[in-house]
Amino acid sequence: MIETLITYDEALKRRPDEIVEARRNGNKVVGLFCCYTPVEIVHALGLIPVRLGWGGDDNLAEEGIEYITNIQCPYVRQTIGVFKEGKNPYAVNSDVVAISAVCLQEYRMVEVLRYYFGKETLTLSVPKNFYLPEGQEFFEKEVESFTAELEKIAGRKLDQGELRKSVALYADIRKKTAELYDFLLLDNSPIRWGQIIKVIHAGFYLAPETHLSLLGKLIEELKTIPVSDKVKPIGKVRLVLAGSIIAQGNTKIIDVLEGLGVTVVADDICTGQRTFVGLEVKEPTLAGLAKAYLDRTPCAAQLYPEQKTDKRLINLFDLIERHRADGVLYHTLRFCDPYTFRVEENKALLDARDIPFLQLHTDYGANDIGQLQTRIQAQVEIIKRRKKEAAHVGSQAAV
Amino acid sequence: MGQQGAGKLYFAGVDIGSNAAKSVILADDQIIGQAIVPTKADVENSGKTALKAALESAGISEEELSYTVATGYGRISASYADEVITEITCHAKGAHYFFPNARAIIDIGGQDSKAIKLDSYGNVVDFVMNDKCAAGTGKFLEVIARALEVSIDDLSLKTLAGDYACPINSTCAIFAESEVISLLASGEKEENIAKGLHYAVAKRVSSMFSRIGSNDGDRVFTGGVAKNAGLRSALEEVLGTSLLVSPVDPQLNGAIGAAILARSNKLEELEN
Repeated sequence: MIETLITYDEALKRRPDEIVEARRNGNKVVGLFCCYTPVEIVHALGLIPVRLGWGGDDNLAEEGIEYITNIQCPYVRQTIGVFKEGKNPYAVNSDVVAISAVCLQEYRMVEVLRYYFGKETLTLSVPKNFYLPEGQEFFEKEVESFTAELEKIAGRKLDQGELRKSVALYADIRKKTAELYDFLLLDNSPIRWGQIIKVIHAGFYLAPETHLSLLGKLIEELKTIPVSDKVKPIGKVRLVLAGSIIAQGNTKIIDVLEGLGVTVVADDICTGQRTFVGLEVKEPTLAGLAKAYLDRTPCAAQLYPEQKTDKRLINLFDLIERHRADGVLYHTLRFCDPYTFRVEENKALLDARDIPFLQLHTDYGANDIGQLQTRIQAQVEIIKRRKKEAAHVGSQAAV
Repeated sequence: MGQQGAGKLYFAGVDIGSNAAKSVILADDQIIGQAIVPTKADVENSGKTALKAALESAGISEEELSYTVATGYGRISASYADEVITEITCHAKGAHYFFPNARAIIDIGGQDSKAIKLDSYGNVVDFVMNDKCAAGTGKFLEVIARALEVSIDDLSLKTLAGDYACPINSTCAIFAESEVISLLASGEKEENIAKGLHYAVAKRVSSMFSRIGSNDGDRVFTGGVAKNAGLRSALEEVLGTSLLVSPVDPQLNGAIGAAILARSNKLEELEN
């Protein structure tokens, strides 16, 4: 039992009331979508940032169909469903909803929130030519006008000193989150990937100062847990999970993987490891933030014209190597085109390196759980056999 | 049971599918018993019933079994099994048992269809499986047979009597059913519709087959739907290749593979 995870749960339980109280005292809450929206600016202006977006509930996803079509991704449909239902404290208490326009469906979702639910919305345009100086120049200006809009909401100007503090605070959170992921480098990590994802998602709602302090506590606690040597590394299949968003509340894939005893050692997901990988704010200014956010390991909706310079692929190969992964599970949410478009490319590139690849195409319904289990287990059987054969060849070579 | 070589060792494979539970008993590496029973709401019990029937046909008792492997979607509820292995791995072993040159398998069952690529040892190299939709599965054929008011066997026979494959544009079972009803209303011959339907399934499955990219060796057709001669001929035509079907009921292929894995895993355990 990891004590700090219980503390996280308790802090999460208190958080809605804290937010309601803060609003009563005149504070405003900004609900953020997409990892390209610089949270530091929101925080530095004294606004309360929360990252929104929900998954895993097919009934709520059905609710969204009233406003968009049933061939939109279930994440977008469900998030609209959550606003329609009007019960989620973070949706209800968001005074403003801000999005960076990377995924077209998510962008439309925010339009729906404005048109049908009267939410005040802010949009930060993200250029598709992000790897060119023209794109960077454009984004810098976008971040400036986005900030100007946020200043109106906050009723004050952005203070450079405050921005510096916020940049340092979030840099610390990213550093600590990276340290947390480093436990997964071990053969027998004291914390599971599914638990880390829950911690990251908790951080989407908690005050960043609380989250940072709990992260520190959690890491210290994990260091005190003796490393088990029960499971031999050879019997363990280490996988990287890449692909579409796994939003707050969506435990379907996590539950299937944990139920099968599969060890996820890294992820390439915007609500997981990609919240910090490749994101380094070198200068605590708006220009510095614009540069850092645009340069981050990109979403699949942001395309590089060349495979060789594609940072998402470079990051994926780096994760496989660093975390000694035996294969990749590539999760595609139904109708999440940016990730689905790239399945064949990813598979071909991994095949060429002899790294097993399995696509998991799914949504929030429960009716394909059996098929997901069969696919994942069959892939694990292939990998285990290969590892066994490699060990056998290795031991023969040693003789 | 005694040591290896101290007498015959018996192994069981149980494959609990969405429509039928299958079981096979091996004495060393020879099939001595088999059974196919319908899968009922009590999945665990369906597997047990199949195993019991196979043991009866082999004339041995459950206590004489050295090792049992369960597979198929009901494998998770199989307290009687020593090990649980996916039907993908089992089908590869089963096909390899009869056809050592098999390098690719098309398996069509009640709710799944799969293309499996295997190596010369019967190990899975790659696979593609349909997602949750029923297109290209036994369920699809069942729905259509119902719309045509014929049995699955008659549907297959009708295909062979068709003049041409009437184009069916829907691969979704529900939409295809409506399409069939419209075609019947417009006076299309049932035989031509049946032929068209089997082509629609064959095309769907062949795209999975091309995704695993297997060009050499024998291709084997397994699963309950492999008994359907109409679909087999449509698949052979679409793929441009002949398909081998096991000399024992192809519906038993997964259970045979499971029994073979029961044997090899037990022998390996005894060696170590």
